[in-house]
Amino acid sequence: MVVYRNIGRYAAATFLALIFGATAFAQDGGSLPTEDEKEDPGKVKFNGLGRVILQQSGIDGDILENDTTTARTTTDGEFLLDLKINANPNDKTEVQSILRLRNEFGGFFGAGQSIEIRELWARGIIANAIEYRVGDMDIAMSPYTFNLADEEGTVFEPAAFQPQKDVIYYEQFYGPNNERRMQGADLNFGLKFNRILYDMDFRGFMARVRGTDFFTVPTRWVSGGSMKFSTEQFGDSVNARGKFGFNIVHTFDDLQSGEANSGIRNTVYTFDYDVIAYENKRYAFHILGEAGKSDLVSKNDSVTFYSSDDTFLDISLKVDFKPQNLSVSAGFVNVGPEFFSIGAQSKRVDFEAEKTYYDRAGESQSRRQVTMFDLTRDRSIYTFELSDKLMAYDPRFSNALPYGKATPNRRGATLAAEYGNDEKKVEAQFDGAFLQEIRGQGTTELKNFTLLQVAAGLNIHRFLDWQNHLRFTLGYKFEQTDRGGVDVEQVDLQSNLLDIGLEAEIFRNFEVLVGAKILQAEGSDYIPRIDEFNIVSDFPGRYVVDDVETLLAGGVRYNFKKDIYLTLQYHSFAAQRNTDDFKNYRLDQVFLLYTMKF
Amino acid sequence: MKSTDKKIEKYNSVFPKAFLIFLLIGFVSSCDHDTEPEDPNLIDRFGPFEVVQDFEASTDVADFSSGGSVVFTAQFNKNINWVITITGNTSGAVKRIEGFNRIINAENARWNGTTTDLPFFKNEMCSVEITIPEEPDYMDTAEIEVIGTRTYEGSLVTDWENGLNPGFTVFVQSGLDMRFDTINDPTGAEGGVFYEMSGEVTFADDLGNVAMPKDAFTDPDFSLSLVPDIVYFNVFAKKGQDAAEDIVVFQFMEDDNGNGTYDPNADDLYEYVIQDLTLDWEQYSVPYTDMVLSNDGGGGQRNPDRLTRIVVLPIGLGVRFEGFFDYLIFTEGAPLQP
Repeated sequence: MVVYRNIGRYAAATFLALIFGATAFAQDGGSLPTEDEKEDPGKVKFNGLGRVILQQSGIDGDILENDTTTARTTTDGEFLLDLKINANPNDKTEVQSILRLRNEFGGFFGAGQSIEIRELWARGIIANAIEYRVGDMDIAMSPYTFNLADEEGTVFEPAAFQPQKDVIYYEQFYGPNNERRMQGADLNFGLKFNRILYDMDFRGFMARVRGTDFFTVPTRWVSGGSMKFSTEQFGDSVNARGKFGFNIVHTFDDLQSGEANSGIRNTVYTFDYDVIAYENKRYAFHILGEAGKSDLVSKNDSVTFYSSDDTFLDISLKVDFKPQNLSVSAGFVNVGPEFFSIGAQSKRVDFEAEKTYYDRAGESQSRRQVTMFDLTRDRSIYTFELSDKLMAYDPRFSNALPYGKATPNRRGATLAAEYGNDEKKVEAQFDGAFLQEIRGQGTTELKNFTLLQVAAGLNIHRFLDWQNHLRFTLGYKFEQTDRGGVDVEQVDLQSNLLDIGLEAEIFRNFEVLVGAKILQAEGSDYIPRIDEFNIVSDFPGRYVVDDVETLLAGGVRYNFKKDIYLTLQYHSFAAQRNTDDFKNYRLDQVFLLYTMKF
Repeated sequence: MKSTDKKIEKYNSVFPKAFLIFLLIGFVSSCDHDTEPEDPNLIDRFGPFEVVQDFEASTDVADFSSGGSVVFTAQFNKNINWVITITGNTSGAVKRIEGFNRIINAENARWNGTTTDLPFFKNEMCSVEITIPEEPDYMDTAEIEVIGTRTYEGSLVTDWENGLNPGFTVFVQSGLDMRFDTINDPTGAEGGVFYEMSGEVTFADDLGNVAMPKDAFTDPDFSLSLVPDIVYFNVFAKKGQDAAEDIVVFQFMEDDNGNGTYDPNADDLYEYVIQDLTLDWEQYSVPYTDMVLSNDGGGGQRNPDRLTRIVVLPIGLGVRFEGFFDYLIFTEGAPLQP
């Protein structure tokens, strides 16, 4: 009885200490009004982006043999102004809208213009503690719950391709933290403590993914939340402390909407951690990772007719060498074959989308495959929307982890190393993965995946102590997929992707940009046809490839000031395939791009 | 304060251990996954075809009358679509057994004497052939002699095998080339005898009729359920080459008042009309509940257990009628499975 009473006293004391020792604070200090805004709460600010693109694209090569339909050259462009209106009606509320005015090239004099609302949200603080936001918002959680993994076709993007990539990222609302643009409501608040825990952050959101068609398609919602906390130091001699988080994302169909009687429920819940097990002035030793589970249920008239669940584990040991600015890590991942996470497995690139540039070509007007040319500039193949099944991927670009870290049916070791940053003389990054399937596809044999990726940037001007900027970038990625067994089961697919870039500031603010991207892929594999619930319905045939794609870029850029520049470039792309009766072709593009952020 | 510091110190030593235990639990629980390979099997889908074990029949003499069956066996190197076709050399009857398997055995290739394409099998030699649609070059054969045909469960009205049943009465109108008689021919739907009703009557719609009282049915223990939903009438019929009309009416008379005979004022009469006979034997089946009430003298409540007489009327409508009929039988639960 005495023991239980003491435990009760201890728990109560701890609880009270946590609560009364906590300090609530809003998560986003940016929404708190400045001193000026407190004095003038009705202040309205105008910012935005202006853009002009003029481009001419051309196609050539054997593909045009007997083709009388495809235009050999096309010219297009746009004139665009996004006017961001930001207002603080009072010191606790902020509203923002982006009004887009756009004119197609050749669409002057009242034709081809459009006006639309590109963004609209409101946010504020409740009781000086809880921040809310309604309307458009960007959500990112962990790589296994809600995350928009980077697109394929890039290791270390050369500066020459960056302007067009920036256009894609801006149009699709891609941010530096792999956020996904949603529409809904978001709440967050935090607590500070002075014992045991350092702080605790809470977040919850709900967004509508899809509206009902009032017949068979129900409204789809996604909701989620996280609770993250960091501890104070435990173990004086080792300086240990940790950050932990619980995450949950729940995607569901509202069967009360319209006449729909079937829908899905997908729940992913995880626990993530980053524990500094030991730290001193020279190095820090981390144990970090994430583990969790997914559930998928499909209901028809409240009766479950399909369900699956699976787990995953991602654990790494990382060492930070502080004086050297170097970190090295080794890890283990185990993502189950039925791991289903709509928010994390939906890709940026839709390989089945209609392309802007020459979607069809040739005598038979067959569809052109997505290539590096399209990945570097075509915003129509990019998306931020959620897909309720695994999207199509191109194994030439990514076969080991086509859906990022959340790729299901993978188990194995990972390696990573990172050195420096883009302000230092040298920055470098290495990533390696040695993975194997957990469940065979069409066979008991398992595929093995090897992924090696290295990226490096040299700020040569820092070596030579030049005023003008001179930077060289290099990225290389190697992927190998193989599987044993009898002849019909064997696969052997290898791909190499090389990024090379040079940016040289010839005169003040005037740069020459040169870049190259080369993809070489050879071998064969089986690409599954995926039906709903990620069930493999068939293997249409052996995928055989012997491709070389070369994309060269050269041009100039003048930086008026930060975020305002004009660039003129010429890009040349060649696609060569040495299998079947594919006809080689070339795509050329000259473009002028002016961007102004204000 | 000192006790609080001690408790925090205790937490500092317990927490790392708890974290490591949690990691271990997470590691162990994440290792349990479904490792059953995903379909379709690649060898089935793309691998070359090979025969591992040749096609065989379990017997070359089959007696289905005692419930016997024939089992076919074969084995391939992969799952593949296969078709076994059994053809009666005399009757022309065809039985098809199909599947998608690597191993053919009793579970998926057993013949119990039934038919896919009419007529029924007779006591005859049968040719058996196995083919694989995706492998046109592959075929194997066998031969089976049927010495006893399958006995079908049901209440048999007549199969004509012993001629016109004693007690059946035949009325034939005056007309041109009138034929109401049994025909001995192995090409009948069942057995070697069937019944012909043919002729041309210009002054009346019907050519005549064959009346079949219940006590003259072939099955001496003829008895039907009182539940009309589960009772089915089955007949096999075809038309002749010169038939200009092909309507035949089956009348089912009940003895609802139990006086031993049909009285239109006191008993029900139901009809089943067949039109569009074909030149090949076809099975016609109707549930008792779908027969049309033609006379409701008995109250209109269907009582198959009180069936007392069946009358078959060929309808010529003034032009030539040629019809052939075989194997009239009632079944319960489902139509006859030939």
